[in-house]
Amino acid sequence: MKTIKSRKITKAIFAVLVLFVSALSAFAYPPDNAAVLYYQACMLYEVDSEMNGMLNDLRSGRIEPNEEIKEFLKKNRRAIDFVLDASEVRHCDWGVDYSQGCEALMPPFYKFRQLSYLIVADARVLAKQGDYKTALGRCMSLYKMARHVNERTLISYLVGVALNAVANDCVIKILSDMPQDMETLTLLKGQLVRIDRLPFSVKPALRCEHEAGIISISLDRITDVVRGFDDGASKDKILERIRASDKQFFDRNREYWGKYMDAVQTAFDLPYPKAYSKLKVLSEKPSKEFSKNPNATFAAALAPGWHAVCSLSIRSGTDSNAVKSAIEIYLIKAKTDKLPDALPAGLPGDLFSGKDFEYEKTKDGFVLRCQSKDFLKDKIHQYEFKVKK
Amino acid sequence: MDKEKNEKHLDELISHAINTEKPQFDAEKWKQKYPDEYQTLLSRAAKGDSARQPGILKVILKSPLTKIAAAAVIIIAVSFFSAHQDSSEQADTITVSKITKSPVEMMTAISLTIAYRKGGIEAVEEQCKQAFKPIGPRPRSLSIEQILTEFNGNSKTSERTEL
Repeated sequence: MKTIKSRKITKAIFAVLVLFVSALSAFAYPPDNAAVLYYQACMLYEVDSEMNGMLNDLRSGRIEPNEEIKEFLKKNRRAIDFVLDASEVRHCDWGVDYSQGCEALMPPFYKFRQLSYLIVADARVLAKQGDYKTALGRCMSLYKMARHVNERTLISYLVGVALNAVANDCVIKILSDMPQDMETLTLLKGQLVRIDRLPFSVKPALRCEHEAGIISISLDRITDVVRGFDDGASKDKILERIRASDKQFFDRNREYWGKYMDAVQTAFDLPYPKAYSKLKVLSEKPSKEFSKNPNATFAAALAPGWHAVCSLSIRSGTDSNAVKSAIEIYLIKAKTDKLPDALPAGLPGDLFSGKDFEYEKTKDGFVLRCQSKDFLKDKIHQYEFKVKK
Repeated sequence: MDKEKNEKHLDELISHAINTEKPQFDAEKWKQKYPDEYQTLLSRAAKGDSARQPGILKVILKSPLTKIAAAAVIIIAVSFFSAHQDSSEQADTITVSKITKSPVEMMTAISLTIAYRKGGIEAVEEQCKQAFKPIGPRPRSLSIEQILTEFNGNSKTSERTEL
C-alpha cells in the first residue's frame, strides 16, 4: 500500500517537473528555431535604395564608414541583433511545405542580402575602430546564416551562395586591414573549422529539385506550375500538350525527369572541367528535344542552367579555400614577421583546377590565383590580400 | 533593370530553348503521301474559273451606286460598334493581356528559379520585392488605443450587419 502511494507521489513530482521545464523552455530566448528570428529581422529592416547603395559601396570598398552609416546602424540595431542571435541557433526551419513540389512558397529572400550588407557595414565599422575579433565574428554569423538559408531548394542554395560570397569578401577586406595578430588569426581559423562542420553543399538542392519535379509533374499540380511560367510560345505549347494529355503523358514525363536528374546529379560529382561540359550538354538537352519529344516537355521548362549552378558552387568553395589558405599565410607572417617565399604544403586549393593556388608575393601583400578558368565567367579568379605594415 | 531589354532577352531565351519556327510545307512530299487528294485537286483546277458563279464583291465593284451604298454600310457599322463598346471593356482587354502574377505565384520555388535564370540573384530579389509590395507600408508601431479603435469600429460594423 505504501509503495503504491509513494509511486503515485513520484509520478506527480515527475509530471510537475516536466511541466515546469517545458514551460521554461517555451518562453526561452532565443527560440530553438533560427528562422523565427530571421523573419523578425526581415520584418523590422527597412532600407531605401540610396542607403542600400551606400552600404553596397562600403561593402565593396568604394567608400569608408561615415557618420550617416553609423547612425543607420544605430537605428537598426534590433534587426542586426536578431540576425546575430539567429545565427547562433543550431536549428533552422523556414516552414516551407516541400510537399507542394515546385509550387512550394519561399521565404522573403530579397531581404537576406540587404541584411547581409547591414551586417557587413557593422563589421567594417568595428574593424575601423580596431575591434577586429568582433568584426570577424559578424562575418562568421553571415557564414552561418548562409547555411541556415540553404535549407533544401536550389533557389535557397543560390541565395546561400550569395551570402557566402558577401562574407568571404568581408573577411578578405578585414584581413587586409588588420595587423597580423596571432590570437585573432588562430581564433578565426578555429571558427572556420567549426563552421565547416555545418554542411553547405549543392547536393540537398539537387535531390530536392529531383523530388519537386516528380511531385509537380502530375495532372493535379501541373496547371498551377505552368501558371507561374512567363507568357510566350513555350507556355502556349506546354498548355496545348497538357490539354491533349493522358495519364501516360505525365508518367513518361516523370520518368524522363527522373533519369535526367540522375544524370545531372552524377555529373556534379565529376571534376570541374568535365562536370561543366557534361552539365552544359544536359542543360540544353530537354530544350533541344522539346519540339519532337513530348516526354521532355516539363524537363525543358523546369531545368535551370546546371552548368551555371556548378560554376557558382565551385566558385563558392574556391573563395572559402582562398580565405583559409590566406589565414595560414598570415599566421606565418605573424610568427616569422615575413611572408613565406612559397605556398605552404597541404593548404586547401583551387577547386576549378583541383590543384593548389598559385602564390605570388606583391608589393602590398600577396595574391592567390586559380590555375584553371571559371568557364561560366570565362576568367581565372585571383584573390588579392594586403599586409598591413 | 530595363524592361525592354529583359523581354528581348527572354524572347531570345525562349526561342533558344524551344524551337518556335513555323513548320515548312513540303509540297513534293505531300504529293507523294496523298496521291488521290492531289489528283482531285488537279481535276478541280482543270474545270476552270468559268464554272464559278460571279462573287458578291464583283457585283458590288461593277456598279458605282452599289459601291457608295456598301461604303456607307461599312462606315455606319464601324461607328456603331465603336460607340457601343464600353470603355471598361477596353481597359479589361489590356489588363488581361498584361496580367501580372499574384504575389503567391511570384514567391514559388519554380517562379524564383525562372527569375534567377533570367537575371541572377538581383532578379530573384526584385521579384520577391514586387511580391511583397502589395502588402504596403507597415506601421512602425501599433498602440493599444489604435487596436481598440479598430476593434470597436469592427464591432459596430458587425452590429449593424446583424441589425
